[in-house]
Formats: sequence, structure tokens, C-alpha cells
Amino acid sequence: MFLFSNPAGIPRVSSFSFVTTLVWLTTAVFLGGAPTATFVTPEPHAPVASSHFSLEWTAGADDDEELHFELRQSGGPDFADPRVRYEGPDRATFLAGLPEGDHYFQIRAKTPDADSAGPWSDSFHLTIQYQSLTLAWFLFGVGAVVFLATLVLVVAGSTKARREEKAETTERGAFSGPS
Amino acid sequence: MDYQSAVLPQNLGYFLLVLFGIIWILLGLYWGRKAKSLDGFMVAGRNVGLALGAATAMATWVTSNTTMLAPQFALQLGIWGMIAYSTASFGLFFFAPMARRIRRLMPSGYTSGDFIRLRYGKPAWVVFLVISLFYSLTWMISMGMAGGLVLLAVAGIPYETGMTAILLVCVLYTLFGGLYAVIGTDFIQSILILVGVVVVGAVIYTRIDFETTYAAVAVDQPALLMVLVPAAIMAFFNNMLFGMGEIFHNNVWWSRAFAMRRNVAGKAYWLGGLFWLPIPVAVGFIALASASLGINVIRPDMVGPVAATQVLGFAGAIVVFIVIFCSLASSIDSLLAATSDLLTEDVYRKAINPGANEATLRRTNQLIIGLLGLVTWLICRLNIGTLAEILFFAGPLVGSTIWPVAAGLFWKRTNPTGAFAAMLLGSLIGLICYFQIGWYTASLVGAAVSMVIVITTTLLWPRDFDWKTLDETPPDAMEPSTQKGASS
Repeated sequence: MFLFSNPAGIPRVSSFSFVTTLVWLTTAVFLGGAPTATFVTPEPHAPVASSHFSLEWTAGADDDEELHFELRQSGGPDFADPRVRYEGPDRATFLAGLPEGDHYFQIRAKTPDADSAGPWSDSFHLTIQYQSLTLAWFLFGVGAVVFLATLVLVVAGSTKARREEKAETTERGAFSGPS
Repeated sequence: MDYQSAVLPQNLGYFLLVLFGIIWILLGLYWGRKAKSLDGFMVAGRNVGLALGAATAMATWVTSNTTMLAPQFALQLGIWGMIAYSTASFGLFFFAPMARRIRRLMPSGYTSGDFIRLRYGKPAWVVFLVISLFYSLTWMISMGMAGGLVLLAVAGIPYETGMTAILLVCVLYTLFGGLYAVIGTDFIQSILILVGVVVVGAVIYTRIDFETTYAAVAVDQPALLMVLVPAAIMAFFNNMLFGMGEIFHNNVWWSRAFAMRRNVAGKAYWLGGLFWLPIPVAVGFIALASASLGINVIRPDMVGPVAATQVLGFAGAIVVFIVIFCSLASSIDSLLAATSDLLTEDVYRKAINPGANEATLRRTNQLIIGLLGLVTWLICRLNIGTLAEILFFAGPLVGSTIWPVAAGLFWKRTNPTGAFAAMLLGSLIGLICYFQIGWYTASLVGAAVSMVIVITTTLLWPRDFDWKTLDETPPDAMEPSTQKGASS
């Protein structure tokens, strides 16, 4: 499904790419050259097992060290309930304490005085799915057993060694006799 | 990834770096005059008392890992993570009776490698050396990197400059003063660390509103307050066993046991553990407060220093700078000294030049200190991964040494082949879990596999061992009270 035929091997442009470019150009014209931002971190293909994730982003061609960024998060792709996670000049953040489920993020660039804000980037989808609790409790139990066994080994071993040392000292004292 | 602007002016950062660098190097030269013999250089004359002993145990254990990894644990694993990190003090508690035993069984010992070689023979000794050297290098790299990152975050000093300066200072004073300098500087560093942590804790306590902190974490980072996060549950015993493995096997702790007076070693490790216990919880809390303080965390291992300096401002940043500089130096110097001892004694003297005299051994030891510093610096320049990723890769390896070391010290019948297999298989299976499940399971699995193998082989194929074999004191050097037979 291409707009143009491609007899001479010229790179082909899909109708989707064409429409996206058109939308982007129209938006840029309306926003009057507002700064843009995109995520650098690749979207994970599979659910993430831990409760944390690092996100990095960059400014578009109009990059300026003074730019500020706004990162927002939502529980759905439509960003019906957005929450600002970060606002400032940094270009990365470490997201900690994420609960299980789907999380969506968008980034946009702003001029430092916030006069002009660029468009929101494509959304970044992250699924958090912890490991099984059964496995966690099993390993916790294994850890407890190793800990207790080591405790018994060290306490019993050192008690026995002290007893033997004491007996040896007494024996040596008795052997050497009164001075 | 760029950090927020540093709190301290760069010039002040350089001034503090140079000031403390000169102090440590001068102290190294001063204490170095005491280290006239090889015993003096490697094991501080075997006459370290309780105050110095407890201080060196505590200061060495307060590494960059405590000041930087404990907050990272809190940020990645929540409340569980904070508590899990403080369980590393159990390693010091457990090692206390072991240190007493070590001192008694090996009155003229130098390294943990000596023990494994005499107790289990060469195959186990080779595996042990590989594990120990690999771990020591990862620990040293993680601390060199931490030094560079902290100086960058606090004072804006470029990563390479900060990392190079810290490594160079530690190499120089360890080179001049040996273990005398290491233990002496540890004492001063432990006081500065304790005072600094109390000051930072007190100021933060007055500036942070606990209810606001709780509310901010509940909204932005709810999983940090959850009890049932699988990774955190698994990390609890994993971290405890990682700490135990680090202490049980590493020559940093053995060399101190050899250096302390006989009746002091056990008590010193107990006290060191008690002083250390609350520190991870205190620094971990700072990480949890970062959300309510509006701090954007970029690298999880930097959350502690960045949050503390931002809360405390200029004066606080100076305190944080000093605490972290001391905690890094107190551990890097210990590792340099202990690892060079291990290589000099176990590799050079035992495998390459058995007839080497004291002067040759001391020169070799100093050369190795320099080389270790150089290798660490070269790897640190690459700035790979986070501190936790680097350090915990060695987790399964050190976890697998817990039982071979502890059982070898207390059980006469532990089987040498069993100890060899326990370290090898424990490490391998632990590494598989590191990649298949996560770093927070690797030490635990390594330790569990190793324990099962040691117990099974000891029960099925017991081998009798004569404790006197561990005493390598030359007959002419024995005091009358420590003549052979004193071993239990």
C-alpha cells in the first residue's frame, strides 16, 4: 500500500509515514517552532520484573542546553489521568517504586520561562510484572535455613572450641604444677 | 547522563581533595616508620588493640557501598531494602568468634589463602584465590567509580579527575605505611564517618517532615512501601549472605584478625558490627525522602549523596564530602593492603619464589599495591554499569565460600574435595540465577548450594584433620606459651 510506484528502486514512502510527516509539519507551523523532545530509552518488549526503570530523553534538532522538560505519567494510553513526574532541565530520571500494571509516559520540551511548550512525544509503554511470590517466599525460606544453619555452626563451633581451650589451659596449668 | 548542578564550588572540592590527600599521605609516611619488618607491614606487628580494632572493622565496612548502595537499595527495594542492607552487619557478628579461632589456630598466619591451602589443599586453594581476587577487584572498582561519581555530583569535579585522585592518594599511603597506615587512618576515618553521619542524620531529621515524605512515597513510589514485593523479599537473605561471604572469605578481614591481639579480635568485630548496624537505615531513609524533596534521581547509586547535599546545603555538602571521602579511603586502602598480601603470600611466596627473603617480599608487596591501583584505575575509566551491578556480580562467588570457610574452621571432618566442589558449583549455579532470576538471588543460591555440598560430603566422606597443620610458625620463632599443642 504505497502512494508511489517504485520502478527505479527509490526509497519508498508509505502512506502512514506521509501522513505522520504532514501532521508533524502542521503542528510545528502552528506551535511556531516550539522545542521538541523524544525518548532515547528503547521501549521494553517484555514486562519488567522489578519495580524500577530508567528513562532517558533528548531534545529535537532545536536543542538548547537551557531547555526544560516535563515528564508525565498515566495509567492508560489516552492520558486521561496524567500526573507530572518531573519538570526541570535533566534529561533522565530513575522511576522507583512502580506498582504492577501498565504505565504510560510522555515527554515534552519547554523554553526555560515556560512561554513555549513543544508537543507531547509518542507515549512510552512500560509493563511492570513482578516475579512470582511463591518463588520469592521459597528463596526467602532457603535463605532463612542457610542463615540458621550458619548460626548454629558458628555458635556451636566456637563454644566447643572455647571449652577445649579452657580444658587445655587447665591441663597445662596442672601439668606445670605450683610455681 | 548529566547531573544537577553541584552544591560545592569546584575550587572548594579540589581544596578538600588535596587537603585530605596530603593528610592521609603524611600519616602513611608517619606510620610507615613503624613498619620495619614484613610482619609490621603486612599485619601491623600483630599487636592491634580494641579501640583501633573496632574502628578499623567499622570503617572498612562503611564503604562507598554503605553510603551509596544502601540508599540505592532503599530506592529499588523500599523498606525491605533498607533493612536488608543493614543485615550485612551479621557478617561482622558471625566473624567475631571466627576471628578469635583464626588467631588461635594460625598465630603466624598472613592470609585467608594460607588457611584454605593448609586446610583443603591446592585445588580448593586455586578456586578460592580466583574467587577472592575477582571479588576484591570488583569491590575496588566499585569504590573507585563511586569516588569519581561522588566528587562529580557534590563538587562538579570531572569523574576521571576525582576517581584518579582518590585512587592515587590511597595507593600512596598504603605503599608507604602498609597495614599500620591502613589501621591508623581507619581510626581517624571512623571517627569522622560517625560524627558526619550523626550530624547529617540530625540535620535531615529536623528538615524532613515524615508525614510529607510518607505521602509523597505513597503517591509516586507506592511499591517502596509494599511488604510483598518479590524482589525485595528475595533480596533480604541474599544481602545478608553476600555480606557474610564477603567477610568470611576476604583477606581484608583475615589480615585484621591476624593483626589484632589474641583476646581482642572477637570483641573488635562485635563492636564494629554494632556501630555499623544503624548507618544503612539512616542513609537509606534519605533516599526515601528524595521524592518529597522534589529531587530528580538520575542514577540510583547517587541518590544518597545528591539528596543529602541538596537538603543540607553548603555546610552539609562539606560534611557529606568528608564522610564519603573517608569511607572510600578506609575501604580502598584496606583492599589494596589485603589483596597485595594475598598475592604476595599466596602467589609470589608460595608459587613463584618460596625462598624469597623479607626485603624481596616487601618490595614485591609494594609493587603489587601499585599494580592493583593501576589495574583498578584502568577499569574505572570505563565507568561501566551501576555500583550494584558491578559488585553483586561477585555475589554468588563469595556466597559459595561461607560454608567451606566456617566449616573448615570448626569441623575437623570437613572434606577437602567437598569444599572444592562447594565453591565451584555454588559459584556456577549462583551465577546462573544471577542471569536467569536477578542479582538479588545469586549470593543466596550460591551459599545454599555450597552449604548442601559441604554438609553432604562431610557426612558421607568425613576426613580427619589435625588443627596443628594450620600453625606455620617456625620452631625458633615460637613463644613458650604458644608451642604446638596450644591449638584446640
